[in-house]
This record gives sequence, structure tokens and C-alpha cells, in this order.
Amino acid sequence: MTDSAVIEVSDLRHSYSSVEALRGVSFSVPRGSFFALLGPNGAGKTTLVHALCTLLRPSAGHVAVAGLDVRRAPRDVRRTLGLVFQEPSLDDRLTVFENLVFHARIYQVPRRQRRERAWAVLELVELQEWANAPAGNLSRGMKRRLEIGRAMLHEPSLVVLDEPTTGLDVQSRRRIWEYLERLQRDYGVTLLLTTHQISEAEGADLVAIIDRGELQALDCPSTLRQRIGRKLINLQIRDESFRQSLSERFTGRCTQRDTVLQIEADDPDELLRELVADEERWTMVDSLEIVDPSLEDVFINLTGRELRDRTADGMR
Amino acid sequence: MTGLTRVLRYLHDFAAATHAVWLREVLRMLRDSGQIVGAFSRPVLWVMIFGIGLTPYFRTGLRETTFMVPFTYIQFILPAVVVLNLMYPAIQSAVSLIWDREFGFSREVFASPTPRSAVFFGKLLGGGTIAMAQGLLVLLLLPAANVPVSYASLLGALVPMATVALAFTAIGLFLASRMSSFQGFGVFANTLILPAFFLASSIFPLDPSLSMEQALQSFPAWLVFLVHANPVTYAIDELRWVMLGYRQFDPITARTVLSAFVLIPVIMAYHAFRR
Amino acid sequence: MIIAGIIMLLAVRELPPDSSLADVREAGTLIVCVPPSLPPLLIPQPGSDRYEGTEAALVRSITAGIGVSVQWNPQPGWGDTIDPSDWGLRPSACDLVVGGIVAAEETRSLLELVPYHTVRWAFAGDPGAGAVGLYVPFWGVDRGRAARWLRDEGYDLRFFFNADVAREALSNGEVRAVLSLEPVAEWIAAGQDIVTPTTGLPGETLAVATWKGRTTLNRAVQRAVPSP
Repeated sequence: MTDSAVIEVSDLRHSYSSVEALRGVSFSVPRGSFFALLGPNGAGKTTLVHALCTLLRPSAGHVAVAGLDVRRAPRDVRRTLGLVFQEPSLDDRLTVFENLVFHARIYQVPRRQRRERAWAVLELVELQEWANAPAGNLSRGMKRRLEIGRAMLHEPSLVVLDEPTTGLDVQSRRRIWEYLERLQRDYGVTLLLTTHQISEAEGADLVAIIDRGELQALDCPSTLRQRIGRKLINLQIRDESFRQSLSERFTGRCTQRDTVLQIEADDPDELLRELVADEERWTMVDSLEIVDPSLEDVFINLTGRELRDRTADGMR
Repeated sequence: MTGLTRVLRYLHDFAAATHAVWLREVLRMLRDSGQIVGAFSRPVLWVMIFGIGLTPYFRTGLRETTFMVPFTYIQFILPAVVVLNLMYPAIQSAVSLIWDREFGFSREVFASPTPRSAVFFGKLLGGGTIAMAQGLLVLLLLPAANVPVSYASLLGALVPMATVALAFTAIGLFLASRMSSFQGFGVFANTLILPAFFLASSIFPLDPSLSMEQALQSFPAWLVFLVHANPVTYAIDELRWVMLGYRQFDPITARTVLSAFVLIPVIMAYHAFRR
Repeated sequence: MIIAGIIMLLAVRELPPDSSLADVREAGTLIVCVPPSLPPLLIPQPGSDRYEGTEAALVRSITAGIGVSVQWNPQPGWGDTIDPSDWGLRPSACDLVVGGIVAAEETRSLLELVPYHTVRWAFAGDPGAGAVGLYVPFWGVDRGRAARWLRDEGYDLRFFFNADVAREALSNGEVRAVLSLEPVAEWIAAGQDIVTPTTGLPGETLAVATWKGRTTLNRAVQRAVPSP
């Protein structure tokens, strides 16, 4: 265990009756980092988060938060954690401010500091003018901001966000990212975020890719991308026989999505020169782009499948 | 020394959390217009309309007297309405438990460093407070019933009132811990409140001057039995004693029943809640 | 909203719960059931149907308060037997019941009382030795307890059922003293014998009464009567 680690997870296992949700996960999260836990729905992210915030007793393994064992000192662990849940968890009948003061009370914030901190947090998430509105009147995005602010209220060293942007529009989502970045930058808080959206993991310091209860990779996004190393060439070709012949030629180095053929290449120039040379066939290429591998490509590379169904929500 | 400070620290945190949950329950109630309307309309309905409406039938002359009782009907029913106005909000307050589960607020509470027992006591005291406030509203109608009010009798009334408030809040919490739907809870609560109220010597008097044998002659046995078996009967009786100086049942029995009536539901609710 | 609710409750509680006061006002007279005679509380005036005395004065202040006149309705059977239901008192016969009523379980069971004065027990005359009379023309007083107390004190006890007889017996020395509530004891002493209050028996509260359920009238009476 290193002193700079806020979270230490070693060989964590958990099963729900017959299903093994976590099959021996180990990692550590350095203090002050932005840690993204990327994986499809049902990969075990939520189980892992619940084990971290002591809402669940893991079947086996060891979890420590800020050096505290979650099994032995759950109350102390909870005090060092700020939580933002997947679903809203505000009392709609209380006002925004009352929600915050309630939180301050149950997290044992000293009486003198409660109001002051509540205002500070409202300022942080820019909801001051909503302080006396019932929480039920806020939009989803505002609620989420409030929840992020609330998680900061008791000055935790670690904020855990479980799928924080689910169901939010693009604008609210962007705003929430701004706040999270500010939290990390200005307050030095460690952020742990689970997501099934690649875009959200791209900006993280560290990305852990989790699938079927196992950790597939853990590194910073650029290193993960470099793992694939090469560039990717996307060719859109409507002619099926041509597509076929190309994919046979590059067996093992290419994947096909609808009419798009993606070829990995150490040296894309060489490949392109070769394609252009055959003039007749070159005209059959409808479009072409050369891209760096994305985390999604890394994910597919690691697990052999796509992160999630192709819906507008998840794709860039 | 450190042991002691740790205990004090724990107690302080416990009290702060209980206070937070209590305050939340109270604030929620204050914003629930439906409950507030009920709290004010129930006493008017029962005391001013029902009570006054039935008073002529309980008028007494000398020969005409069926029941020799030292009160008028409106005086008789008023303590029962106090209890009714305690029962409704007490049980109703537990709905917040189902609400919290449904809308995710329970996560905020249960993932916090607050011990579950503090949450439980906060809810129990919150429901109790709301109920007491609504019960006290009925006492505003005391002048209508021509009951002379002394501060001593008001203080004395608080004890049986608190008993009912806590007992029914606990019953509500127990039910809510085991139920998942609002409708189910509402139906259950209503089927519990009304019989408990009607079978409590609340709106018709079991003739106090009759012995058990004689009572069985004027009322069917099952009715007499149910009234005697109902703990609410004794709460209303205690209140009548405090307010009118009149009681139908033995005070020792009444107080024993009432103590059990608070303790058993509270313990059951506590266990159901901790699960 | 809560304030509105409280105001509503405070308003509805002022609604008249019955029409008894309105009926009296409409009739213009307050009919008062009284015993035939209870000096010095109620003294019938020969040749007229009027009463004088302390309670008669109280009744007059009540009627003045309501703004109606008095109509006395003497009840000949009042006090004849132990059971008040034999006295012939009927709610239809009067609005107000007056005549040495004392606040007690029995009276409260039948009437709605308006207490006005708390009095002590007192001896008319000097109860040094010899026979002592007991005269209790009050409805609701536990005569048995008073009698037991006198016997326990070692007095030779004699019962009286008429004020004039008791006064006569005291003045001619038949009894050394007569025990009663203070105002009656004073009347029996007639200014000649001394009156000694005793604390051996707890004081009693005198009251006037309305029939049950005539709450508006009862309140009007309360307003006119001093509190004890």
C-alpha cells in the first residue's frame, strides 16, 4: 500500500447468489487523481462502487479508503467520501438549502460551519439564486449539480460519482464536467467516476476498463491508446466484393462495421499509396479518414466487443 | 479519557443526526397541504358537527337520564377526537419512509455516517411531534365543549397523547418498513385507524355505571370484548380523566396497557427498520 | 395556511352549539327551578311568587346580564327523598336550576354546573357539649360523611330537615349547635349565637346549573356569575 493512494482495492470478489459480479479486482487510486472506471452496464461497476462506500459487504478481498478498511471502520470511511448516485437522491419537498443543511447535519459538519459551507457549495455549482426553491422545482441537470455540490459539503477527500451524467442533455453534461475539473484542480479532491461513456473517460488521469467483473486494463488514456500503437484507417466502401477482398487481405488487422472497414496500420501512408495505385478500385472508396485509436477501440481491442449498443447517447 | 470523549462524540453525532431527521420530517409535514387540511378539518368535523349534532340525544333530565355521566356528549367526544387527530398524522408520517425508498433519498441517508438507529429515532420523534401538534390543535376547541382548561390538566394530557403519537408512529414505521407501495400502505393504515378509533369507547359510551355483566346485557359480547381489548380505549380514558375528571376503566390496567402499547410497536418497528 | 387553519378553528369554536340562549331571549323570561324555601339563599316572599336571598340576587344579576326577566318555578318535591329523580324536576320546566347546589359527582352527572362561591362548614352556636344538629339542605353534599364526622368528634347528633325548626331548636337550647355550610349556619344563628367555621370537613363549592347540552345558556350564566 502506498501512502499516496486514496483507494486500495485488492482481489475484491463479490457474488449475488449465483452471479459473480466481481471476480478478483485489484487496483489503487492515487491521491488527487481523476479516476474513471469504464465498462458496459452490468460489468460490475456499481457493485465496486457500493463496496467502496460500504453499502455492500464484499464476499472476499480487501478495500481501503484513505487508509481505512471499509469493513472495520465503515463510519469513518463514509465521512471521507462524497457520493453522487446514479439516481437522484434529493428530498423534493425541502428547499435546495435545506437539503444541504440536512446533509451537513448527518455528516457531522460542525454547526457553525453548516450554513457557510452550504453557501460556498451553492456558489461552486452556481445555484445560489435557487437556494430557497424546493429541490423538486430544479431541472435534472440542476439537481445533479446540487448533488455534486452536496457531495463536497463535508469536505471529503474522495468524491465517488456513479454514472453522474446519465439522462442529462449535452449542455448540462458539459457544465458538470467543468465543475468536476474545477473540483479536482482547485480543491485537490480525488474523483472516482464510473461511466459507460467513452467520452467521459477520455479526460481522466487514469482509466480502468472493467468487463464481466474483471479489470481489463488500467492506465492513463494516452498510454492505453498507444497500446494499439498504430493509426486507424476508416474506409467507407459500398461495394461488398471489394470490402470482402480488402478484409481478406488484412485479416486480423481489420474490423468491419456496416459499410465501414477499419484497418490498423503501423504506417498508413504505405497502405494508402497501395490503394491509390489501383485507380479503378480507388474510385469505389466513398470516404476515407485516418484517426488515432479511441478508448473505444482500446476497449474493443481488449474485450472483443463494443462497449455498448450504438445509441446516440454514447457515441461521439 | 479518550474512551469517554469518543462516547460523547458518538452521542453528539447521534443527537445531531436524530435532530436532522426529525427536523426534516417536520418540515415535510409543514409543506404537505393535504395533511394540513386534514389536521384542521378533522376536529371541526368531529367536534363541531358530529359532537354538536349528537349532543341533544345525550341531554339529561332526571327521569330521562339513561347514562348518568358527568359530561355532555361534546365533552365526551372531544378527548377521542384528540386521539383521532393524533392517529392519522402519526401513521401517515411513516409514508415518508416509502417515499424515500421510491425517490432515492434513503440512499443519501443510509450511505451517510449516521447510524441507522439515529435515523429511526429521528423518524419516530418526527412523526410523534407532528402528531402531537395536530392533537393539540383539537384542544383549541375546548372552549366549544365548555371544558374549563387548566394548565395542569393540559400538561397531564400530554402523557397519554404522547403515548398514542409514538405508538402509532411506530406502527406506521413498522408497516412502511415492510411495504413497498403507497396504495398498500394507505389502505392498511385506514383499515387500522378507523376500527381502532370506533372500538375505543370513543363516540358511544359503554355505560360506565354498569358492571361487566350488565354491560354484556346492553351490548353484544364481541363489542364489549373488542373495546376492552383495544389499547386506544385506555388512551382515551386517560385523556378523559385528565380533561373531565372522569374515567371508565381501572387506572392501573390503563397505564399498564398503554406502556405496553408504546413499547411493543417501537421495538417491532426498530427491528423492522434495522433490517 | 396553518395560521388560516388556526383562525378557522378559533372561529368555528365560537359557533353557538345550541339555541338555548336564543330561546330564552326570545321568550323574554328565564324560568328558574327552585326549592320551596332555602334561607338565606332563597327566601319566598309571602303573597307573591318572588324570592329574595343571596341566590335570588345572583339569579337577578344573571337575568340582567341576559336582558330578560325572572320567572320562579318552585319545585315542591325538591329535597323530599334521597334520589333526585323523584323530585319531579324536568328540563322542560325551567332554564336554570338554583337552590343550594354543590359541585359533586352526582350533580355534575345530571346538570352542567356554574360554580360561584366556595364556602366552609360552620357551627351555629357553641358545640361545647350536648346535642349538635346537622342541617344540610344542599344538593350534592355527602350528608353521611358529615354525620360520621360529627359522631367521630363525639357529638350527640340530631338531624334537621327544616331551617325554621333548626333555628328554633338552637334558640331554645334543644341543641347546643347546628352544623351547616357557612351562609345557612349564619342564618340559623340569627345574629344571636356565634358562628364557628370548622376545617374538620373540606369546603364545598356552591353552584347554579343549567341542563346538559344547553351550552350557550350555560356560557351566558358563566359570564354573569363571579368565579368561586
